[in-house]
Amino acid sequence: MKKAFLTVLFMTLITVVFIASLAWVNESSRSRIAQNDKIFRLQSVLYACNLMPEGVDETLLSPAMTTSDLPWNNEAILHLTRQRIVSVTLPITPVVRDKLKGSMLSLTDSAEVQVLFDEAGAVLGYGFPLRGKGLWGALGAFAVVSADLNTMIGLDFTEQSETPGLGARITESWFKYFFRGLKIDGLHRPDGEGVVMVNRKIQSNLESPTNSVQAITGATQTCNGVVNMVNADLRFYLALLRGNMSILNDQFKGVN
Amino acid sequence: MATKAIDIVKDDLWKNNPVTVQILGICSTLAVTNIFMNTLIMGLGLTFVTAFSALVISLLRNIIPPRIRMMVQVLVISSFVVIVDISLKAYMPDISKALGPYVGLIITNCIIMGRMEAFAANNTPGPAFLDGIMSGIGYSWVLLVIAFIRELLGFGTILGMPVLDPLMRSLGASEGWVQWAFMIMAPGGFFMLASFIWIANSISAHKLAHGKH
Amino acid sequence: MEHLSPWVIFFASIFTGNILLTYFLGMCSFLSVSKQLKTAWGLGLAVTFVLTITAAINHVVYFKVLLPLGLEYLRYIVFITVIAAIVQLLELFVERYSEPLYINLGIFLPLITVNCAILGVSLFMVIRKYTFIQSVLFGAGSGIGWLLAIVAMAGIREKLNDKRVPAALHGPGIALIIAGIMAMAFVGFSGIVQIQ
Repeated sequence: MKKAFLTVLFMTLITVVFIASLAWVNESSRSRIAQNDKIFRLQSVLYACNLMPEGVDETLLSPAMTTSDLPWNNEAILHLTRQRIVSVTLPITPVVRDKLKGSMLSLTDSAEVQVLFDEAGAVLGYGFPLRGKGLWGALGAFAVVSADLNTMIGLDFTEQSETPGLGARITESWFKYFFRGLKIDGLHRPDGEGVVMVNRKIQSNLESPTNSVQAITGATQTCNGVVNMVNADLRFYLALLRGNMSILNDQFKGVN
Repeated sequence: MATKAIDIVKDDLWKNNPVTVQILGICSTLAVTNIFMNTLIMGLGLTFVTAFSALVISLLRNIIPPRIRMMVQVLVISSFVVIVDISLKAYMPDISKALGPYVGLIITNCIIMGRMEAFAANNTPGPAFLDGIMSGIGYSWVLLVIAFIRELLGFGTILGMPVLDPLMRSLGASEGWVQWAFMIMAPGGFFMLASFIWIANSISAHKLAHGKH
Repeated sequence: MEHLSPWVIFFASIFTGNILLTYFLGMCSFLSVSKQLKTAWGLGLAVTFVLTITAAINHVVYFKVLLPLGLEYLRYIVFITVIAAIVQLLELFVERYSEPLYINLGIFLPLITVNCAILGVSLFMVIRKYTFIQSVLFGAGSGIGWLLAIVAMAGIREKLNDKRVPAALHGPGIALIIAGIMAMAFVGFSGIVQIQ
């Protein structure tokens, strides 16, 4: 009996020691990790808005590059975000709520949307978060659509845990580049065709606008997850934006 | 003491290699080796955790009650892994993003557990630490060879830089290099590892037949 | 995740999302213990048992203790320690009630602790936010899927015993090639059923 007691005591002691050290490491790096996460999220937002660091041309960079490879410095990120992006909360009226049936948005009274301005203060587009499911876990993204709501300006992933080398390649710039200039007008009609995935695209959507993006070989499930997420959430947010166009036009007319 | 160290080194790197001879650490071998850089990071992470876990377990070996041996070992191993993960998230977030999916795979890596049971629990801290490092390196070099070939044939790149595509184009192929998707997916890992073992075993058999070893 | 039937998850985790042949978790013992059909059955059943129980316990611990207290970063440690404890209990049980199986499994009985499939299932359950019933059936289904794979592998390997295999490929080499072919076959199942 004494042996059993000593065994349990030992296990408890050593568990406490290790968990305590872990808790200490976690606490002391909490603020740094939070800061890193914030910067990472803002980098994604800027990428989706097609805003690059000073003097950087996306088309000249390596196709396998991811957003964290861009040569940003933290001040530039914060400055650009403050200067060009404004957050606005849109109410979800019963009329709009009707169109949002089935989405998590229909359970709330309002939703937050980011408004993107150009240097002169005119509205360039609107950005919002997307949520979906990949093969291994949840997918999170940030999408920006043009002011006329018919094309996409860009998209970036804020959360993914897909297979490295396969599904995880959705974070590479060659994959995301196809979302620039992507036609999304089909999503305004209830039976309209949304974004589709094809095996091979010769031209980007900036050169020749279509509603298709290129798939990743061997990562079918992840790609399906991405397309489903974009189509579902974009439909909802486009309905929300359409329903609130008057508010948006009033608020941002003549803003400098 | 010096001979013993050399034995540890030779053993872990070739004669008793964790991957090709002991057949341990296979899950991560398949998951990680489609990209060379990820394999490198994984190898470093694993070597670090194995070495320091071995050190701690060896220091505690005389006071751990036998029945809960495994529980203590997993506790030590998983604590180290999570500490590494959190530290990377705070100070090297890009590398942490690459290592993130594999954290679970390091904790459950049979190599680390295997070395604790087979060596660290019964040896002094010095040799245990060395064994930990060498097992990690034994694992890493096998995986790096496989990863080099899988990335080259699967993506046509070496360390992320396109190599085969420009080569094919310069040789006149207008389509450039077509990726071997098979190499990127898991079955490619299976066949590559099988080939490696085939070659390793053939070499060992050859050496044995010719009196060396 | 409430709208997904637990039985759909159960069947999907056996065939279309087989933890071993689709997600490639639980390889080490799969390759080493699949030489004999009898031992493979024994290990498969042991793993199924551990998977079901740990899925249940870990679900409660994560969603009722760790999450409310904001201690998610401890999940790896807590999960693996729970798994180690259950395996320890299992080891005592097998040693007492089935001596031949205990001897046959050898080191691979305690090594069930570090079977990536078991930790993997607990982590998936967290990421996919399954309910308790869904988690239990997910664990049981994954276990049966793993059992199926290892028994199939053992059957094939026993059949190959008297065939001509290159000397250097004997054992793990040929097992890996068989596993590769099985994995290729299972790629055909992917995406048939959505379980998240």
